[in-house]
Amino acid sequence: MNAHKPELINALLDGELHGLQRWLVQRHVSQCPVCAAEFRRLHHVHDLLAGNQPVPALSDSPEFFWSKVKREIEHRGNQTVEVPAPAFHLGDWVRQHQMALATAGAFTLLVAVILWEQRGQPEPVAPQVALAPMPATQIAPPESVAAITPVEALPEASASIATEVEQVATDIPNTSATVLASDNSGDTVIWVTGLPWASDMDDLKTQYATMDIWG
Amino acid sequence: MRRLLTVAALALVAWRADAGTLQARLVRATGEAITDQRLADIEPSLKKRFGYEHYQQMGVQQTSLDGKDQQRLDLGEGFVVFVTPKSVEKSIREINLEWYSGRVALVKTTAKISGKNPLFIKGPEVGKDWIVLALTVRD
Repeated sequence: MNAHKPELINALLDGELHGLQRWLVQRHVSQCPVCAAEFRRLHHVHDLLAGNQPVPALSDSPEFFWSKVKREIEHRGNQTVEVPAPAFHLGDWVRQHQMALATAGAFTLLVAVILWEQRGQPEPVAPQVALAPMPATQIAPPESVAAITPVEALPEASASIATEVEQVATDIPNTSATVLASDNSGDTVIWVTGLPWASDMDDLKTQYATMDIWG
Repeated sequence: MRRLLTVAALALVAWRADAGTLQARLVRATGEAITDQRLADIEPSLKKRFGYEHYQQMGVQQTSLDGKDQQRLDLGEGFVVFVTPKSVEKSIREINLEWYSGRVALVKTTAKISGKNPLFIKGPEVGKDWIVLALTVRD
């Protein structure tokens, strides 16, 4: 709140402001010398009015006034009186629920930001391995026991001096050996998967010494 | 006599230059902070391919690729590599390769390897580490 608005200062003095708006006006009044002077002036006026309450002057004595009111009530009896229904405006509803709306808006914005950031992130990939596309696949030679996926290196790489794997196999059941050709560095990886895990080197030796490769 | 020896030495060097050497290295890819300078020439490729920060050479053997006989390279820890040269064309050497752990063949392959481009074979997993076989040819 930066502008000087005397009507808001008046509303503040009258206790008509609530919540965030009341806090903003109070903060502005405490920081703005112009509005602080206006606040003091209006506050003085309020004090004067509060100290000099108008006394209603009745033309009749209270008893006679009440008798007139009673007579009027009895005269009207059961007459129906049309009372205009209060018009409902969206602005009124918004003012009544401004805190809830602000909270819902902030939450929606937060969810939107989170979704947007997740959408911008790349798909998770295996972080440890840089794999090149495999352009061609050959069938494994019949003597191999386990699954085989031999792949030649990229044509442009093999045309130069890139390492090229023609066929690959493994004797261990339930394992597979896949050739991952290089994209531009020229090196090639044969990736053997499905090998048994070992806790240490001694465990590894023991497992392979006692392995039944024929299942 | 000195001239004869010089000529013989030059001829031997020229002959050996055509022969080529296959070097097989048993490598442990690990998260432990280990710096092994012996792997400096292939460490960038290893990092790119396998992702681990550190690599340790567990064993190394090399053999000449002249001739057609099968060569046995004992890399330690029960790992043995059998290499049989098949052919050579320019700087590309075709070999039959068998990598054993104990009596079990982890991989049998036929590959064409050139001097600048190593062949890596990702082997078994030990604890949190990987065992990798790195093969390079030096002319």
